[in-house]
Amino acid sequence: MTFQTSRRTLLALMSAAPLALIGKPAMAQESKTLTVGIVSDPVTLDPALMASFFEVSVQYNLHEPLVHVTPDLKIEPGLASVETPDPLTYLFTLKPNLTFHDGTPIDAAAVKANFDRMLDPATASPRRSELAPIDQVEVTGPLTFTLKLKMAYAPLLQVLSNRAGMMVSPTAVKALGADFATKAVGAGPYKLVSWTKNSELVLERFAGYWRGPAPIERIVFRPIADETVRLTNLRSGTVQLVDAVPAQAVGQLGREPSITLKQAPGLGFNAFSFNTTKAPFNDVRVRQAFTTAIDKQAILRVVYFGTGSVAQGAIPPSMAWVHDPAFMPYKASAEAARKLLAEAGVTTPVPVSITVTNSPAQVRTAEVMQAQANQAGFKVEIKQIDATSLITVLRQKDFDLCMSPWSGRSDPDGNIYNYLTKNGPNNFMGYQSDKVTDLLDKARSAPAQADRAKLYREAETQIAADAPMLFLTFPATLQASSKSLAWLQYPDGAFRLQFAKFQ
Amino acid sequence: MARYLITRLISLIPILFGASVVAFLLVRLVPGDPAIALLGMEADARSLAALRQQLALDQPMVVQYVTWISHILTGDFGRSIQGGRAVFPLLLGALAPTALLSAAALVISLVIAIPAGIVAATRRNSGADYTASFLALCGLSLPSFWLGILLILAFSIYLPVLPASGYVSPLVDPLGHLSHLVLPAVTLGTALAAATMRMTRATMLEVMRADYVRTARAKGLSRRTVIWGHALRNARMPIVTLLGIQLGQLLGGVVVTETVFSWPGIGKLTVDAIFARDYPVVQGAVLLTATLFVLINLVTDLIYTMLDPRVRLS
Amino acid sequence: MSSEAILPVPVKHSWLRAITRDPRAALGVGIVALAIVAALGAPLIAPYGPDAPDFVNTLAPPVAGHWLGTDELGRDVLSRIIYGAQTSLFVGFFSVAVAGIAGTALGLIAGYFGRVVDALIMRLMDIVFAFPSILLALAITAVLGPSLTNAVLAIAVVNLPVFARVARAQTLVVRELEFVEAKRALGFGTAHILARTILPNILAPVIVQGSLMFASAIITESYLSFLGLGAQPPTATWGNMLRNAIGFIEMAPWLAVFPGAAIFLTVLGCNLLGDGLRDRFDPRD
Repeated sequence: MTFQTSRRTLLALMSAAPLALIGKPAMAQESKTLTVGIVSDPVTLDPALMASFFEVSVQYNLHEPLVHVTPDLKIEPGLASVETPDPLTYLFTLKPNLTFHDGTPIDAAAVKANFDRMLDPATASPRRSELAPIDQVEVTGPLTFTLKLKMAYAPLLQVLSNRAGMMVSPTAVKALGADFATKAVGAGPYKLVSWTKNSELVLERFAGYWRGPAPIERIVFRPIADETVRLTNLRSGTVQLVDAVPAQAVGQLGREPSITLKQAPGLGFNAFSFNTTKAPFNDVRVRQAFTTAIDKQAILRVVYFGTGSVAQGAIPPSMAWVHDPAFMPYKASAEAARKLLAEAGVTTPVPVSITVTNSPAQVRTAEVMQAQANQAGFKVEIKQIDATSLITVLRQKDFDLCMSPWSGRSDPDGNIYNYLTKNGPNNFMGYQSDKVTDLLDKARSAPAQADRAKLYREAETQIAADAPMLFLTFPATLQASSKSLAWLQYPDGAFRLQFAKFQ
Repeated sequence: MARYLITRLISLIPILFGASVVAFLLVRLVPGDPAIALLGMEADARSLAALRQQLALDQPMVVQYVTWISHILTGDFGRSIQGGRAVFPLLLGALAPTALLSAAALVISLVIAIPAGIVAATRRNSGADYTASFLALCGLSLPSFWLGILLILAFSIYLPVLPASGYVSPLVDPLGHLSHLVLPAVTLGTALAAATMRMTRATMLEVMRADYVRTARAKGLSRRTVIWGHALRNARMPIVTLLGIQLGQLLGGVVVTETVFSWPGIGKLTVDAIFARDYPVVQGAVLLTATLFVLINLVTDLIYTMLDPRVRLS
Repeated sequence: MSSEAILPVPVKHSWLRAITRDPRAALGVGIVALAIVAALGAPLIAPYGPDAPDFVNTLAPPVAGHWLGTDELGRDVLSRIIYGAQTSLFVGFFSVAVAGIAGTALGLIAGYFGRVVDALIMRLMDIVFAFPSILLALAITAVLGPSLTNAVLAIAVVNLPVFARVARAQTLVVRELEFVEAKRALGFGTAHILARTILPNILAPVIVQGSLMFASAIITESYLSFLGLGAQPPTATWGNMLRNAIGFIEMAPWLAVFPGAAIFLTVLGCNLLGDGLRDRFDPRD
């Protein structure tokens, strides 16, 4: 690497990331390898097929979306810049002379091929539902294309800043066939070197990255499932950056001089769905009673060790433009819960089951809820299932109260629409509110942010009154690194290591 | 000999066929849909249907089984549902770490257990015998996942000298490989050592009571010559048998040890695949394990017959 | 697995007296008795309820009042360990009983009738045996769903071949003995001969095997619980206590040490007892 390019890197970094990256000359230690301890191996490296949370930490290093979000969730250009003359038309212009990792050009035809692939039912891409509002992808020049929408869809750019906007090489897709999932060719700051399942995923700096080559030469992702072991590896220097720091370690870690602990409000929520289609939770008063019985502060203290914040709805404080910190529809009280149950005229104790996956933190949450609800006139049984059965149990409505956590999206629509509209795919509750559906439809198409915020707040008030979901907490994004690494934390917990640098 | 071998090999076919059917059915009986497991919350009904079709999950079970087993016979193990890797290289890639871990555990267990077993047998009812026997019983009673946790606590957390988990290929970094190997190998080796020591002791006791040993002692041969020259040579057969049993046990033991230490071997691969409903991987891994298991038993029998001409081939 | 037949020996005096004369076996009896007392008397002995949380006093180290500390929900670890004995012994006993009864019956039938019946049953057992037992138990609990009874069933299934083999080997020997021939000559029915003549004479090695399988069943149950496939929360089991302890291994190592020690001691007790029984019934030693 020449001095020229490294200066460019530094400039790019300074403009993109207003972080403490300045100080030492850019040349110092720049050929280092960064080893990252992540929770689990990604399932696939193909953004069209990514469906698990485990790809989040890896995806932005290998792939580049059409547009970016900043850590405070503002849209900025990525591979393309965008103009929106009207709510149904998005005009994109790709940066010139860009290529994928395999050297094939990133042009409008390649972008169209990507959208066609994601929208083709035969691809079985989870992106199809996110891209459903797109009517047409029109190539208007070598580097320009237009997305025409069927209806106004304010979250579109946020969606395109995520997996749906990550462009891969159509040539490689064709050539690699089924192997593309393990050998993905994208346009991100790093390209794939090797991937040994359950062992290591090795990436190497891509010289043709549009922001210029990244400061760190090599990135190695190591799946380390055990949270204690991840931290042990961080302390011993085997890894220099870890994802998903356990909440109970935050206090101790914050005091260790060789470690940087970063926490930010996350995008997701931990919540439970009430089954509103059968007794006892088909009665709104019983749902309200249960909600009132739960002391969310206790859960935050015992399960999350005080990190994150309690939730009253689906929209977390990280979405500051719509989150209302004063919104407090429920005050925990066993007595008030008993009164609500008496009003509902049900015989106490009311037997209900709480279904959770067998992850220790979720079981702990259920055990706390069990203890609290039993004080308030319920008789709670806990059902443990394994994580893979969760979605099936939810879809078949085979539960009374079932965990429905969500990793979150950078637009409120991505947290609320699929859960609480009448036909939303994640409406496991069987919640049928015309009013809420109407509000959320309007909020998704209103162009002005202030109008959207007002609509979301109104919807949240109605949702709280109907209590179809029990929102518990907004978990914080907790990550840590060795002191020598400067890096940017994003609320979604995804690492964007083009902005990382040893100092 | 050749005929015997062929007969024995043929007798394995129904067992392996049965094992393949059991593996196939069992993993399909686990509730949960692999298509949903892969595509998650965001997938719509059409994508799910398309995926099920791609994976042939919409076919009748019998068709799915026949397709799978006929592909296996041509050497095609199919592709993992989770991530689309070809199953056979995946299995081979996992077999290497398992073999390394098993070999290390076996060495540890033999180095400790055979001498301990001989000493315990030759000095029967001495303090050394009682101590060794009691320790062996303790080793046998230790749940290996707990032992693993204790070792991590001691050598990775309190005294951070060894990595708590993970794997480094010996080809890339031999020293790093060894440091990662120590804790899981000790964990796995402990239970093995315990079983081996007990077996060695019992066998030696039996052999030493045999007439020729008594005769040898009566002839005035030294104790050492008798033990090492006569008794041990005659004890080798049961020890070979034991080795076979141990290798079989290892295949089970690695499941627990690999999950505790995130060792990317065949055991962890299988457990992860069961939880992810990755049918082709579970089926392939279980079939491979079962094949290895019955082959180990066969080889044990063969060595047994070679060591002892008295055992007739039937 | 021991496939050699152990000939029945007449029991001369009380086995209990014989056992207690062997100091190792006596220690085994003592430990097992302690576990049984803990399990049966848990409500009387345990200082707290097994799932009485105290959200203010979580992760307390061992102190007076909470002799083994409290867990992440403020529950008393000692009380949970005492109650946990119930699960371990329940699963150990019933899984061995189910496997022992079914396996003995299969082995008896296979050994007595021989030929096709034998081949069929034993090949079936070979198939079950061809899977690593822990993996099979794990898969079966995954199929049936996590619960205590399903853990019992899964462990019973994987132990079936062991009992079938022991019972069959023994039956093959006993079948040829004179008094069995005599019964047959006297015209007794097959069922009578199987149940009244052969069964009593093959029981000793089966029981010895059972006592050793009891120990391994306890370990398997705790491993299933450790993976989250055992009894449902908040039921205290040693395995799920260990599972929960993993996340707090740095802050609260006692959470991982004590439940594991409980498993270890109980299993050691069973093994000591099993060794003692084997020495008692095995005439070779």
